[in-house]
Amino acid sequence: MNEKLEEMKNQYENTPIPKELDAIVKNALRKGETLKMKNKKQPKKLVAGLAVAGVAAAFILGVNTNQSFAASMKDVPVIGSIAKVVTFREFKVDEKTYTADIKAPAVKGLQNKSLEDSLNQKYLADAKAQYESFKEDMKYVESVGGGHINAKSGYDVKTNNDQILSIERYHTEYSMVELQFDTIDKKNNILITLPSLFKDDNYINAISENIKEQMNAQFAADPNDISYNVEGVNEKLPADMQIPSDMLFEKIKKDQMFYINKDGNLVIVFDKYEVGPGSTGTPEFVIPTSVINNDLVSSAYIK
Amino acid sequence: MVKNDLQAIIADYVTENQEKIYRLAYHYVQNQADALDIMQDAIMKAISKQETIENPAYIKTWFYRIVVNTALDLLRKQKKEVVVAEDILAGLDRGEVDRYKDEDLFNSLDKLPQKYRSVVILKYFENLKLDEIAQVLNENISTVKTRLYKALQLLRIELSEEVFQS
Repeated sequence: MNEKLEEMKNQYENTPIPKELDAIVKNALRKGETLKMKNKKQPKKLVAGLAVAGVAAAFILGVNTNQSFAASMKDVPVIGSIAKVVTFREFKVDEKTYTADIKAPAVKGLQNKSLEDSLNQKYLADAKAQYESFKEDMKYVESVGGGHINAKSGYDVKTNNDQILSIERYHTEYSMVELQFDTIDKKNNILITLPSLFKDDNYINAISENIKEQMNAQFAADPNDISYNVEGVNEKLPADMQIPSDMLFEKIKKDQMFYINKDGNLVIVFDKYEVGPGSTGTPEFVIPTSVINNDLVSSAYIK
Repeated sequence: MVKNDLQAIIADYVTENQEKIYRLAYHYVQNQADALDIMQDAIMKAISKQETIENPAYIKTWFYRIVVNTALDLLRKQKKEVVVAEDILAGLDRGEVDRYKDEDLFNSLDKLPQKYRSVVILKYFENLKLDEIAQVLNENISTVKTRLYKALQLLRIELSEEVFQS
C-alpha cells in the first residue's frame, strides 16, 4: 500500500476509543431486544396489573405527599374532571458522570379504584425497573473505568377533560426514546384500546393510507425537513439515503400507540425508527376524523 | 434461520467489532458524543430490524450500511451547522491543501468531503471490496470507483491501476 495511505491507516486505527463504548454497546444490544419485543407483543400488561390489584393497599402507604397533589385537591370543580396525574415517586441519580431522573406518575381520583391501582402499579414498576437498569449500567461503566451515562423518564398529560384522560410516558437514554400511552374513559371507567374504538379491522387500512398521504405531503412541503420511510418519498431521496423497499412503512399495527388529543382527534404515534430516520423522532400523526368516521363505534371519544 | 440465532450472530459480531464500528462512526461525525449516539442507534436498529438481513454471511456490509445510514441521518439533522463549519473551513483553507507534512495527512483525510472520505475508509482501512462498498453506500460500483479515484487525487496519492480492480 502507498506510504501516505499506510500512515493514514495507522492514524485511523489510533482513533481514541472512549471508555463508555463497551457499556453503550451492551446497553444498546439489550435495548434493541426490548424494542423488538415491544414492536411484536400485544399489550398484556394491564391484565397482569389487574390481577395484582389486591396488593394495592400496601402500595398506598408509600404515597408521597407532594405539592402538585396538594394543589390538585384544591381545584376540583366537576366530578368528571377530578382525575389528576401527579408525580408519585422520583428516582434520582446525580453522581459525577451519571445522571438519572426517573419520575413515576400516578393517576388520582378515578372512580374505578382497581383500574387506578393497576395503572399506578404498572407506572411504579416500570420506573423502578428503569432505575434498577440504570444502576446496573452505572456499576458496569464504573468497573471499566467510568464514563458518561444518563437517563430521563417522565410523563405528559396529553388530555384531561370530562371524558378522556390520555397519558404519555417517556423514557430516554442516550438518544433513544421509548414511549407508552394510556387513554382512559373516565365516565365509564375503562381503558381504551385502539381496536375497541372501531367496528372492525378496516381502521388499520383507513388510518395507514391517511398517514402515508401525510408523510408524502410533509416531504413535498419541505424535502429537507423530514423523510419518512414511505413509498413516494423513498424514491425521491439520493441513492445513499434510500432504504430497501421491504422496510418501508405499510400499515399501522393493530394496537399502534395512540392518544386522543384535546380536540377529540385520534393521534397515532410511532416509535423512533419505526417509520423514519432517527431525526424524525417519535412521529405523531393527527388523523382527520372524516377518514375514520364510518369505522368508529361511536362519536363519544373521537369527534 | 431461527431468529434467536440471528440475534446472537449480530450481538457477537457487534461485540467483537465494536472498536472498528466506532471508528467508522467517528470519522463520519468527527466527535465522540455523536459517534456514541450512532453506535447506540445503529445497534438498536440492527437488533430490532434483524429480519432485514438476507444472509448472515453478509453481516459486515449489512451492519456497516446501517451505521453509515445512521451517521448520514445525524449529519442531515445537523446540516445547517455543518454548512457553516464548511464555509469557515473553506475560508481558512486557501491553498494550504497543496502541502502535506506527515502529521497533516490525517487532517487532510478528515477534511475530504464525506462521500470521498467514506470510500477511502471502507476501501483501505476496512479492507472492503469495491462491490461491498457499493452495497454499504447503496451506490453502483462505477460511482464508488469514480469517488475513490477522485479521493486519491484530492489526497495527492498516486496508485497504480490495479487498485481499481476489486
